[in-house]
Amino acid sequence: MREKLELLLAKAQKQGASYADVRFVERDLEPIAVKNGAVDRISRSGTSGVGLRVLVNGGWGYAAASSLDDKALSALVERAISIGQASARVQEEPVDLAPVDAYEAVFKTKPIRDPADVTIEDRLELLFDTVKGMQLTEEVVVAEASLSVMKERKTFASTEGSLIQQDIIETGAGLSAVARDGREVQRRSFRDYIQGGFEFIDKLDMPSLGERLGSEAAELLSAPNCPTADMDIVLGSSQLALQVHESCGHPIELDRVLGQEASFAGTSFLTPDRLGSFQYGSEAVNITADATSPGGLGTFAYDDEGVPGQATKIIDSGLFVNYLTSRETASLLPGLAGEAGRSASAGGSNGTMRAEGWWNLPMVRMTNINLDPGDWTLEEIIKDTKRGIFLETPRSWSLDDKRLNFHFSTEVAYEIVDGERGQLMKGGSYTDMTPRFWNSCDAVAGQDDWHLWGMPSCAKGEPIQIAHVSHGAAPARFRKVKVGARE
Amino acid sequence: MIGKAKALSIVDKAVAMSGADQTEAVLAVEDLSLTRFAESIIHQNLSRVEATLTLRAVVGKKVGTSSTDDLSDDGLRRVVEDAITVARYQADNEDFVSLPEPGEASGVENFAQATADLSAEERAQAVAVIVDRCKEDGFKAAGAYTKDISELAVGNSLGVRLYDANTSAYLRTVVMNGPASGYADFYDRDANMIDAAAIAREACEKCGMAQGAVDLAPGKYEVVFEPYAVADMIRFLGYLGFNALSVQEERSFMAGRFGERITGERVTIRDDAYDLQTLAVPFDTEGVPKQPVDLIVDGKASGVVYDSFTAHKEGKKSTGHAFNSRWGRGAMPQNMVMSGGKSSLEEMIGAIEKGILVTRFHYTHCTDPMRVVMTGMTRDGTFYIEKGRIKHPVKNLRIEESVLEAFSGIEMLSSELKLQRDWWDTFVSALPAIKVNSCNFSGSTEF
Repeated sequence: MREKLELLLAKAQKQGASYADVRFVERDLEPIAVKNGAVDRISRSGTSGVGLRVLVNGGWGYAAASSLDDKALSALVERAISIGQASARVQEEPVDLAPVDAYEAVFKTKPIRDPADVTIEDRLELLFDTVKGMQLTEEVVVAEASLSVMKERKTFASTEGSLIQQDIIETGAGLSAVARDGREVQRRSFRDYIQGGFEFIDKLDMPSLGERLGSEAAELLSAPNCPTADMDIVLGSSQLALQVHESCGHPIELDRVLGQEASFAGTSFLTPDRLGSFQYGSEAVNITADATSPGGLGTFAYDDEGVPGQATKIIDSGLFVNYLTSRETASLLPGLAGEAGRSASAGGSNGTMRAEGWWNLPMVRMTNINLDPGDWTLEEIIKDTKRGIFLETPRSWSLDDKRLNFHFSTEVAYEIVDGERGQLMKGGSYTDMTPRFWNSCDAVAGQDDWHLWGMPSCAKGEPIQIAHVSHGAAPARFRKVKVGARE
Repeated sequence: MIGKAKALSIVDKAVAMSGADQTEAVLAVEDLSLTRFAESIIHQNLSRVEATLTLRAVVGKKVGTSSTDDLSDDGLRRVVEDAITVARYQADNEDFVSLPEPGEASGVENFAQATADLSAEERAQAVAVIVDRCKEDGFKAAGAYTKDISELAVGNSLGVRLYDANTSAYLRTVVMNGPASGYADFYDRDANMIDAAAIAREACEKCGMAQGAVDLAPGKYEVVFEPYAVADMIRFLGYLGFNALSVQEERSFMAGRFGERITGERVTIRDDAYDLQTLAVPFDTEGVPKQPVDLIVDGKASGVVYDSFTAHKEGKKSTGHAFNSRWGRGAMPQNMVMSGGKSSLEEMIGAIEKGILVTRFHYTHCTDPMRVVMTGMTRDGTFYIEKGRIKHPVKNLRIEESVLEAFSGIEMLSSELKLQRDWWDTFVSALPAIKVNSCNFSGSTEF
């Protein structure tokens, strides 16, 4: 494969590319799901192909194909070059790339229990047991449980001399119990993934989890509605992980800030003039983009430009101090944000360019965007809250196109009265403006309550690419937030 | 393009290799080119060809699927073996009856040579038209020009053997000037129908109108929704309620309500792959010819779409709406047409005493599937209307409203339908602009 990739790069250079990189990607998926006591889905799929990115006359071209025969690869180079030439015609300045060293390296996920060692029969047995647990509650009309394994083998090479191979294994589980009483429908669910093997599933105890979710879905049918009021809220870690994703992870993507997602995903309120000076959150808020977090779906040794994966402080005691960058966007940062930009991009790109599969070009994507642990415990936070709501598990999410106004609803809510967690409530939702919300954060729980949630479902770009990311979070409290439906 | 003969020969070969009781092979080929621009320059430009063969093997009442993009004989042999192996792991599914028998699929004019021939250079020229117009106005443009050639070949061991090739072209732009923005897009099977200058003009005019947006108090207002916005409302009806699986599982707002009024009587929505206002494919991924389906007629719940699995469960025939080839995953109405009325957009605005014009939505979600309560933000042009005239732009608002209830208050619909993609790219439907007598907005943002 090495020879083939190097030949492609040489052809691209010969046809006028000032820079080129190529990725050969093989990806295998094994989803398996049981629904209401029957196998709902069990399949295997495999895909492999090559994506070539070229810079021609300062403009980008990208072509991808699954066929690797010599004729197809020659056509691939020609297509990428002609597209690059077309891009250059609507170009004000040629693309500049921040420097990166050349690397020859190999990175592999090291599962403790390789999914390949777990038979289909064993996986099905676990899923049937889990669904059975959910269906112990008679109101549950749809009970689903699934397991998913992804294996990806990726080889990256560039005209600057890098040759990097990365073999990734991801394993995850999903559970969903839908209860109905003739009037309404309530759902309880769980979803989590890890970069790693079946050891993750072994620890979950899916049958017990299923039983609890089924019972809670039914309980929600007769639960009172969440109140509508301005009040203190405590977010559980899975809800907070999504909150971090949507209201911090996306707005710090520098391509988005530069308007490159304006026609679809939107732009960002975190404009370059705010870098280094904007108080994004309270002093309790520290957020790190960490491509080195063990087990994260956003963990890798090198991104899809050959830049080393790294940990970058994004929010430092509430202060906004950096973006997620690529080689191209990092080179622009000093011009956009002056001294703060020079400081933020001093090491070049912070290594967040990633593509879904071989068929897409890389974009700035989240890695593992983590809310760093604080120094409270969840118990202390609840005890310290006079009146509030504890909200957990995402049900819906919506933000404006600069990521300022947001609205989330959750599957469950519990009232908090005089420092005690009270009754279960349904219809939990909250809405706020991002900076006000994060500046109202006054308590973040610590490492014992912190969990890295795997989310293989981040949509961005045109055509839409689905990135696999993770977010670490522990429960946290936010003061005087608008809670409840406002219809 | 791979072409009809080669596509069907691959499908035939895969079916012939299988020793399963029944076998289905689906070959989907997509040749997609896309030019994205932002800050008035092209920043992403790609071309990709994907070919995926999905094989479904039936052993007794056990069904297994496997897919691959390796179309060599060895690759096909592997995918057949994998699907049969997967099937053997299954428990019997008593609800599974059979793969579909062959049916007669009518032809649909859905391939445009001009789209197939559209080059990267021509896409760049269209982008330049938008960028140049924006420069005249001092605005910045972002957007994308997508060209797609899709081929679908379906064959099964019962004799289904169908092929279709279709094209689509889609140009859209967001035009920005500080916090103000405007939007326009156009979707068609034929790239010759795309008028970049008209798209630029509409978006620039909207951006110009959107300068100086002011706060508007949240609350209930009369609203005119342009087709861009209606697409996001219809989307929730389409994927949450109009499919048989969600009815069978009692998750749909249609469940138990057929024949009952669920929206206002001006609402009629059907799915019709033969309506050339939509981007039609004449059969589904099981090779079942598509049947027109009335979804809502005069406000009453009428029907839902089926694939073979959900149809067999009720002793019915599939309507030809399988969303993919895995049984049990439901069906989707991919050619929705909402009947229009007699009005123009201007007449709808003229009929409002105090209300709002919404151009489009951003990032909508559903908080209550049974009532179809949607929330999301307006974007790219939201305006306050007073005494029949647009008075001033307003800062973007958060909708929090039941789509069924909003549609119960539809008073006017435009006579013209627009082929419209929703924000999420779930459906492309033929839709009118609508005026509703009340819609709830629960908050607003800073721009």
